[in-house]
Amino acid sequence: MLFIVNALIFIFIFAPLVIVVIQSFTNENHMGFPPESYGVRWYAYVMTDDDWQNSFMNSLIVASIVAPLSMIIGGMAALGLDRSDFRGKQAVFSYLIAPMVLPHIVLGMALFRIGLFLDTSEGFTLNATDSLWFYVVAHTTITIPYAIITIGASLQTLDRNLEEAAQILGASYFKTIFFITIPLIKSGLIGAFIFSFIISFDEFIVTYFLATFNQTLPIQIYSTLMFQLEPSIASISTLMLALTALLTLVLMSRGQLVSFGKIIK
Amino acid sequence: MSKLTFENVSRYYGETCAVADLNLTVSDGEFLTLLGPSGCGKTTSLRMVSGFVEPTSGRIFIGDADITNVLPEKRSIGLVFQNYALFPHMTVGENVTFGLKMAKVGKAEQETRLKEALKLVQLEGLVDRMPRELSGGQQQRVALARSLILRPNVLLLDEPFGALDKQLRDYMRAELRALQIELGITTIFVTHDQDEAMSMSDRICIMNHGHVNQIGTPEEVYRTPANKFIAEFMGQSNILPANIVGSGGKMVTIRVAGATLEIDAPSYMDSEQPEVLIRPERISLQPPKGTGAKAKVIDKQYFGSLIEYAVESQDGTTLSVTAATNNSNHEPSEGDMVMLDIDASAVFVLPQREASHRP
Amino acid sequence: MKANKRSMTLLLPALVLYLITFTAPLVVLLVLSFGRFDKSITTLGFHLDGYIKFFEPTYLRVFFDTFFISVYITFFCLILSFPVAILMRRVQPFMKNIILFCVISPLLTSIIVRNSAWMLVLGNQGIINQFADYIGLNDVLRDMGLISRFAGLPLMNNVFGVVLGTVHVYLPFMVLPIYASLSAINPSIEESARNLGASSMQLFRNITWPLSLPGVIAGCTLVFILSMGLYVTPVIMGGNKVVTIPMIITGLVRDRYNWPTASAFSVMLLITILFTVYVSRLLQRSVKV
Repeated sequence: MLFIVNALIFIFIFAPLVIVVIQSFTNENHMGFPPESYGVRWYAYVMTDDDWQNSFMNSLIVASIVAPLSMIIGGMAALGLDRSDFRGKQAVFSYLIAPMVLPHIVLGMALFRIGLFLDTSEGFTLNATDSLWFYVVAHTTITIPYAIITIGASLQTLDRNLEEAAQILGASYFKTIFFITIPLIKSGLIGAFIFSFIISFDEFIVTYFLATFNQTLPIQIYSTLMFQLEPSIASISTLMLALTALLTLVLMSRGQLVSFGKIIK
Repeated sequence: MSKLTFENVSRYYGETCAVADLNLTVSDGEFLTLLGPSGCGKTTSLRMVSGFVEPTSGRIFIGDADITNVLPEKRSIGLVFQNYALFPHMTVGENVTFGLKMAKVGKAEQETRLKEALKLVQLEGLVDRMPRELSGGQQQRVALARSLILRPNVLLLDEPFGALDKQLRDYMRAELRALQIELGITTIFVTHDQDEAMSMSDRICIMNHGHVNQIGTPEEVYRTPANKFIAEFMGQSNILPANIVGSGGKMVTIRVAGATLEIDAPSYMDSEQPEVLIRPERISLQPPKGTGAKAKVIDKQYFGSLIEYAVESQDGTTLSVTAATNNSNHEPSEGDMVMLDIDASAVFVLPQREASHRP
Repeated sequence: MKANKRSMTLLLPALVLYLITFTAPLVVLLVLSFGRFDKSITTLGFHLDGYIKFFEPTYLRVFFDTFFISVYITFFCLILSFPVAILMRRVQPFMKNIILFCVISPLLTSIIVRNSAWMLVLGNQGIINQFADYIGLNDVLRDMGLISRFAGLPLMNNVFGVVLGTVHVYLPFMVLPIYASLSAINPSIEESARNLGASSMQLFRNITWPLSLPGVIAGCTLVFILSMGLYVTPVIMGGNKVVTIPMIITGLVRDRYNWPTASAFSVMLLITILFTVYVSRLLQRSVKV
C-alpha cells in the first residue's frame, strides 16, 4: 500500500518532466503528445536562434559570476559566524538568511526601484535595470543564504583541533584558513557553488522586474510561453533539465544533497 | 629547551573559575603531569600554555620570556592532541613538514629534518601514506614527529593515549617517556588516569576544581597525599577514622579498625580523631591467632595476579585488602575469620585541612 | 580575543552587500508605501492611500483568494508528503538516498520548466484532454453541457491548476522537514507500540503524527509563506482566471508604475508572513512541551 501510494507520488513528480523530454524531440510545428514524428529540429532551432542564444548566454554569464561570488562572500560569512562569538550573533545569522523567506516578488520590486534610482540619479548614472551586472548583484543576494547554510554545515563537521594544530605549528590565522580550513570544507564550497549556480540560472521573478530587453533564459521561456506553446519551450526546458540533473549528480557525489535538506529545516 | 613558569595564573569563564591562582614551575627537561578529574582545570591550563585560552590574570613564561600575549603560532610549542589532529588531506610527510613549510625552511633542509624526525619515531617508509591508512599508534607517532621536528621549547601532551587500546597504550607510554628523556624536552602531560601519571612523570601536579592540591613525585603523592581527595584519586585506599590513644616523643599510638598501632607523629597533627590512609596492599590477612585485630572476610574477588578482599573488622569498619596470589600467602575464603596485620609504617595520617601540603 | 575580531570582519562583505541590496530596498519600499499616487506621479509623505486600497472589497477578496489557495497548497503538500517521509524512514540507506535525490532534484529544476511541463499535461490540447477526446469522454460531457464546446476538461486556468502546479513545486519543502522529524523518533518506540498490539492507524495517530508535529509545522509554515509570495505559477497555471496578491503587485509596478499602492500591498504581504512565522513559533513551542 505504502509503496503504491509512493509510486503514484513519484509519477506525479516525474511524469510531467518525462513528457517534456519526449515532447522536445517532436518534428511537428506544434505541441502534441505523443509527437507524430521525431527529430531534433527544435533543438537546432533554439541553438541557432538569436533570441534563445542571447538569453542562454545571459543566464550562463550571470550564473557563472554569481556562483563564485556567492560562494566567497557566503563562505566568509559562514566562517565569520562559526568562529566568532558576540552578542546578537543569532540575530545576524537570521538577517543573513532572511532573503530565503522574504517573498522574492517583494525583493524583486524593491531592487527594481533601487535600479531605477541608479539609472536616473544625476552624477553617477549606472544603468542598473536591464543590465547583467545588476542581475548578478540581485542573484548574489538571493543565493548567499544558501551558501552560508551549506558551508556552515561543512564547518560544523570540521574538527577544530586541526586548525589549532596548524596554528601551534606556526601557521597564521589566514594561512590556517588557506591550508587547512578551505581544503577540508571543499565539499561544502562546491555545494554552495553549485546551489548558487542553479538558483541563479533558474531565477525568474527578480530578474523579471529588472529585465526589459536583456532577457535571461527563464524569462525568455516565460514570454514565449505567454505568446504561444511552441515546441522550442520543450527543447530548451530539456536542455535546462539536463544541466540541472548533471549538477545535481555532482552534488550527490559530494554528499551535499543532505545539506540541502538542512537548508530547508 | 627551557623551563616553563606559571605566575599567579587564573582563568574565569564569566563567574566560573576554571583555574585559580596557578603557580607552577616546570624545570628544564622535566616531565610534569597535570592530573585530575574532568573539569579540574588541567586542560584549561594546557590551553593557556598553547595560547588558545587567554589567562584572565597572571603571566606565563618560557625561560625568561613572557609569552602571555604571544600568538599561538609564535610560541614554539609542540602540542599532541588527544585525537592527534593529523591533517587528513595531507600525507605523513606533508603533515610532519607542515611546520617547516610555515617557517619557510628550505626544501633540502625540510627533507633532512623529515628523515630525522621519522627515524626518531620509527616511521621511515611511511612518508607517502595518508593518515587514515595508519594505525592508532602510528598516527600518534606522526603527531609526535610533527611537533618535534620544529624543536619546540616545550612539549604539551593532551591525553594522547586515550584513543589507544590497553596493550598499545602501555607500549607507547614507555616509548614516549624514553624519547622525552633522550631529547631532554620540557613536557607537560595532561591526563585523568593516575596509572599513566605515576608511570611516566618526574612530578605530578594534582588539580581539583581549578586549584592545585599537591605537587610532588609519584611516590610522594601516593604515599603522603595532601588530602582525602588525592588519597582517593591516587589508587585504591582505605580511609579510616582513628583515635589517638597515647603519645610519647616522636611517636603516637592510635586505634584504627580494632588494631592498636604505634606510628610516627606527623608535624601537623591537630585532631584527637584524625583520618588515616592505609593502602589495601599494606594490610595482610593472617590466620586468626594471637591478640591482633580480628575481622571477617565478607567478599573475595579473584583478579589473577592478585586477590581483592573486603573484610569487616570487629568495630564494624569495612576495609579493602589486596594480596598477591602466591602460595606462601594465607588465602582465606568468604566468611572466614582473619587477623589484620597492618604495617605501621604504611599508616598515613591525613591532614585535616584542605590546605595544600608540600612534603 | 584577536581571532574573534578577525572572524567578525569576515562578516563584513555580506553585511555591506545586504545593506545595499536588501535593507535599503526594503526601507525604500516602506517609505514608498506611505506615498501618494496621483496622475501617474508618486509623491512621498505620510499617506495611507495604499493601505486603504488594500482593504477595498476587490483587493481584500484577492487577498483571501491568495490566502485560501495557499492553504489548499499547504494541505495537499502535507497529505502527499507523509507517505514519502514514512517510506524514506523505512527503507535502507541506499534507497533512502535515491528517494532523497528524487525529492530534491525537481526542486533544483526551474519553476518555469516545471509549470510549462504541466501545461503539456493539463492544457486543452494536453495529454489528458487528448486522451479524454480519444475515448469520447469529452464529447459525452459536452453533450451533457458540463464543459463548453471548444474546451476540454477544466484542468488548468483555474484554482485546481494553480494548486496542482504549486504542490508539484513545493512538495520537497514539506517532505524534508517531516522526514527530519520522523527520523528523530527512536524506532524502538514504534516497535514497542506494535508489540503492544497497536494497529497501523493507531500507530500513526498516537505515535507517528504527534511526534512528527515539529516537522509538520515547519513544513506547513514554509510552504504557506512561499505560496503566498509566488507569482509565476498562478500566472501560468491560472491563465488570467486566478488573481493573487503577487500578481496585483507585479501589475501595479510593471504596468502602472503605481509604487505606493504596490509597496503598501507588499508590506501587507510581509506582515501576513511575519504573523505566520509568529504563529508557527507559538505552535512549535506548544508541541515541544
